[in-house]
Amino acid sequence: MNGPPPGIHWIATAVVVVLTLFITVLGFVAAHWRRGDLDLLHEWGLAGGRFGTVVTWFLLGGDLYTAYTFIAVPALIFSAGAIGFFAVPYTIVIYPLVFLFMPRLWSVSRAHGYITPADFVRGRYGSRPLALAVAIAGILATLPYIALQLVGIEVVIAALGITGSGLLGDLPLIIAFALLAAYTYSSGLRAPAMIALVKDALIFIAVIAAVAIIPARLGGYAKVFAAVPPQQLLLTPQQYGAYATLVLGSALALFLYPHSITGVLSSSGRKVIKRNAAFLPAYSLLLGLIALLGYMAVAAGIKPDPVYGAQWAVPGLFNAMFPQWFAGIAFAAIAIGALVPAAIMSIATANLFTRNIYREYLRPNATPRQEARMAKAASLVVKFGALAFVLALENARQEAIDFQLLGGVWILQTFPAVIFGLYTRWFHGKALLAGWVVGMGLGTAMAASQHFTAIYPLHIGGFSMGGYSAFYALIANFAVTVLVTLVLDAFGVSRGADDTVPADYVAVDPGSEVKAA
Amino acid sequence: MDARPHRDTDPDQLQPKRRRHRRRWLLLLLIVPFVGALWVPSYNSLTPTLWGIPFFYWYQLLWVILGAGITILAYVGDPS
Repeated sequence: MNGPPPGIHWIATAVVVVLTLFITVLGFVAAHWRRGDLDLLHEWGLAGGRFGTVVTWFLLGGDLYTAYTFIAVPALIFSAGAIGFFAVPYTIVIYPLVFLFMPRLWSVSRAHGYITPADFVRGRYGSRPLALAVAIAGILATLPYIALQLVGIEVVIAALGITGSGLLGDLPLIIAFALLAAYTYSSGLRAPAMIALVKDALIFIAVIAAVAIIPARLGGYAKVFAAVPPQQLLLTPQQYGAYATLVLGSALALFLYPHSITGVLSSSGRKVIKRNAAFLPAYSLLLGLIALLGYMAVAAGIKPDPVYGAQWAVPGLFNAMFPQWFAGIAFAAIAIGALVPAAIMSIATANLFTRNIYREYLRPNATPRQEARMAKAASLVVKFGALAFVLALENARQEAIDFQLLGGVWILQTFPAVIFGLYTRWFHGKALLAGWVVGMGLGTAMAASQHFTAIYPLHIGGFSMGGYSAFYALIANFAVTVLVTLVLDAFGVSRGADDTVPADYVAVDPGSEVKAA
Repeated sequence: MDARPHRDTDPDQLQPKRRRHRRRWLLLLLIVPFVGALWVPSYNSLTPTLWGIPFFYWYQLLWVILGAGITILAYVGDPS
């Protein structure tokens, strides 16, 4: 392995520092972009909902294809082989779902001034407990996701040769996050949107160079795949169920995450969302190529790192294959690729807390200005909470991964309330809540019983079928929801109020701007 | 549907109707990527390879492109 010598890689580090400072300036400048009153929550937290097709494409691309994706997907391929490729078919089935569901959510949200999925559930079912359940699931699922972005930055810092214990070793991460917190606080969603342009440009450059140069240096793709143990290149028939349910379950979950919905709701129209459903797959292609970097790392003889394990695959490969200045660009792309989603996630979590906990339970008469102030403060708390979590816990990396897995299980349990709610009011709010409780409990138990791996071996009769625990939990959730709805109907229980009307879901122009509501 | 009597007598009313019908049909295409991606045994194979890449990998990458094409068709059929 012919990487740079041990010690700090000064050239690569300089490139990363310069690019990070550049995007920090952008982050602050973004406050003046498509100017709005940033003391209003919908301006700070949704950028006024005025983003067109191109900006939304960059924003969602930066939001969904995170630094952690770029580290973790190749790492899984590197260590486990074919099963890790599920991330690709997962992104194949996401976009037809986005095309169908998200324009409806956008229309109804715009018509009623909703800025979170829990706002919608509150209006649709008139149920405070159900809205609270959706908000809590969203917040709990997003927090470990933010922590994982930090882990992604940590890996990059280590790849620059910057190691050290105690405060000094943690300092680069603390500085990066403090800068992030500052410009998110001042510019809101405009900051990650503007930075996403830079991040995506860097990622495309790094990945296209990687898949052009690295296989050539390793003697072609045939040689790369020949270096991988043959049994890792394909799935075993026992893995079919696991693969398919991972694909479907992850796809159904993705656009329930608050940060995805924030990205969707900040767009300026249904057309923008539908066009993006057609053009976002460009990132999926990129993701597929990034996934193959895992095998290239195998072929290049990269060994798992004593600290970072298989997550070292991509940083190790870049260090071995690229000149320092280019490795610096690639690492900057990954680090900025962590800051963009971390910003959007903290904004989305802040929106949820402010709208669905603070205004709903703590200060019902909050003015729009108080809302915005609360959200800004909440976004700081969330970010520094994640930072403290990562720095304080001995085993934070593993804990974050475990919680992230649980987060996927939890967020998928909001599917019936949010997505079915876009189409029908047949389900009772109470029934959806009962289903949610069962799904959360069962999914958590299933994941915990497997020591926080995603696949649960379900035994039915004499058969054992391995599948994604979140998906199994969703089936149980749905069954309970249907059953309780039927029982409540049998007792003649009323379905309660519904603020929305069918026309709200298909309205093309429900008002040109987000309402302050 | 084709045999409905007003069809020949009232062509002005018919045009938008027929276009709407075609749109719905295009939306049904959105099911196709699910079949491609979720029918795992159909692509769990090393051969045929493409530029040295086993079938399992390039086939799924191809579906990313096909899926995007299908979504574009759906958009053409139902843009708003």
